[in-house]
Amino acid sequence: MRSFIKYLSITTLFSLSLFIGPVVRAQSMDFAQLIVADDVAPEERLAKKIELTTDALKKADERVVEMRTKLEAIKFEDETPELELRNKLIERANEYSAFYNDKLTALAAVQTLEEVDLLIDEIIAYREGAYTIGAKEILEFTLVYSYTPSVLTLADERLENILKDVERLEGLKLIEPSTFVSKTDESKATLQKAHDLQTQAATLIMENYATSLLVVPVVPEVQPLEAVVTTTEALPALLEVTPRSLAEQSLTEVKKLYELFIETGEKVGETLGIN
Amino acid sequence: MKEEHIIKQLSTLKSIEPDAGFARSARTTILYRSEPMPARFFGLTQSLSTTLSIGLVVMLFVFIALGGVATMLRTPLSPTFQGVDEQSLASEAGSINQTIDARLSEVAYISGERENKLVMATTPSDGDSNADKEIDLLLTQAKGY
Repeated sequence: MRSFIKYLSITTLFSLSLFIGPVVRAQSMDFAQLIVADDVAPEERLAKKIELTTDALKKADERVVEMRTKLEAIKFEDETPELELRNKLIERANEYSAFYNDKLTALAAVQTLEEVDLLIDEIIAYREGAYTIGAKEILEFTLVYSYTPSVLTLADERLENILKDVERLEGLKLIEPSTFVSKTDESKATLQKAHDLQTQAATLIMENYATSLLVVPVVPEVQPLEAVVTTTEALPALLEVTPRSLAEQSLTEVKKLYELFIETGEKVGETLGIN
Repeated sequence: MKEEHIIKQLSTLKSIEPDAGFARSARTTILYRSEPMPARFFGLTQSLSTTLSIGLVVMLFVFIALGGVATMLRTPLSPTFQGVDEQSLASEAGSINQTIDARLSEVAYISGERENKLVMATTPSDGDSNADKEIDLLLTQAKGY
């Protein structure tokens, strides 16, 4: 009996070790890494910091080059404000690229942990400040003038093909005329809305640009309390309308449009008895 | 007398000649006609023809057995009605949705919505990744190492 209990205990302990072992190991992984990170030699830390920062700077430069390429691919007529703005944004992208390349050169001369940390702080501060403001504008411009129009062109072509197919199926007496009128009308309206929103986004970008060019001193006006309240209430609604928000709405309409397209395709299949 | 008459008749018959046009056409036919097919080759051709016929019949049965006709009848939309083809539509919609989400996520990230979980959730994990997010992560890692 005693030996049975002994064997049972050994078996239980062995089973427990099988279950608990991996858990304990997994839990201790992060802790182990932390210990290793704390234990690494300063030279090793410096090398790793330089490696990570170099990687970040190279990627940041690639990112800026990608932005510039997209901007350059957008074509406008000569001497238009759109072209003027595009060129300004390209110049800005060049400035970012120059900054990242300067820092890469500076990084090569770094000798101590303090120096590398200072450099990293400088890069982070730049990215959070100047870069973020400009990159936001570049991405917004590309979204409104390049990406959204390309998506709208694709949707235009798809709608055109759907309308042609429906017409042909009606001609072949395979589907009843007017079966798809509501769907196709809804699709046309949705696509038109998406186009309108994109146009509004483009108009707003150019209005904002024109405003930024005007050097008008801001004179605070003394307003009656009621007027201030009204303005404050209207402010959140006004702030929400940005080129980006309009482009987003346009793209959301495109998403809805494709849902309609899929529904139309399914309905055609059902009508023809092939689903 | 009778004998002489017969000889005369024969002489008359000997002088009979074909019409000039017929003679020309007959000569042309003889000169340009194809060589008579050897019996062995003829047999081979016949055999091939029979094999081909049997083969075609077998192929037809296989086609029917595999539902070829049914498939043809069931898919009249392809390729003539690509506009309403469900597969093509679903594929295009999926691709568009993915790129739209990626683009909006990029702009949202740079616009300072780094902590917006909803936006982060829509960020695709593969393919067109968010480059700015990756750069910021590398810098944070470098700083904290």
